[in-house]
Amino acid sequence: MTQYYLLAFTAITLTGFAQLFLKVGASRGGFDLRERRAHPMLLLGLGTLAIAMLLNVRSLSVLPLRALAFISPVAYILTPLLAGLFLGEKLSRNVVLGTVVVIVGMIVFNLRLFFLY
Amino acid sequence: MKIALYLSFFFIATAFAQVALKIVASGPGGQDYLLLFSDPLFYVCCVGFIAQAYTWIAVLKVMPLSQAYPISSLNVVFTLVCAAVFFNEAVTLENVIGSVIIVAGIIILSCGRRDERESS
Repeated sequence: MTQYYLLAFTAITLTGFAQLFLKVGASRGGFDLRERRAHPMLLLGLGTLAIAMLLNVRSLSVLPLRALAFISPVAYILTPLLAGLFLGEKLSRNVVLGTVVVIVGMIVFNLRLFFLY
Repeated sequence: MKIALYLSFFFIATAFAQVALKIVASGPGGQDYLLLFSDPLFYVCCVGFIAQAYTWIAVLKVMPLSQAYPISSLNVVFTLVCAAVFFNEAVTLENVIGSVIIVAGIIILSCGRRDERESS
């Protein structure tokens, strides 16, 4: 069972990095529909998201549904941290407080999952 | 204004994709891959997810990731509304309380953005 939790947290970590790649790709031009071109970091981000989704599906095929309730908020902690660390984004007091409140909201939203098998 | 517009398009695209996915998954396509690929609604669903990705990248162009990602959690609230309206799914008390707390968190985040713009 432990390996499936590790798989789920790996998926969450990959999701965080995928968002990072998408942000870099978006900042450096994004999609150009006229020239039918996309920045390589966008493709890397979308590919990483796809891998994360596959790992998620695999881990959730074994893990109980209540695992989602405490695994999914981790992405909301990790992604802003990665943005602060690698992109130099300022994590102001309001951003940190707002993110914490959002995470609490998501846990409350999924509270019933804690009681399901 | 641009940020609000792009975020709105992102939430609409996500809600559209989620509703289409639920309809497809609830039908015969949800049981059989051959039936899935022959269901026109599956392709509508794919368009929805492509639109979601495109609008998300547009949001990332104009917003810092550390703020955009928590704000994207509002999708949970829109999905709840769509589930209740289109599929008559039950809305529990913790769904409502959780949604209110999520919206409060996003308001706190947005106040921070306004303060940063005024001070710069």
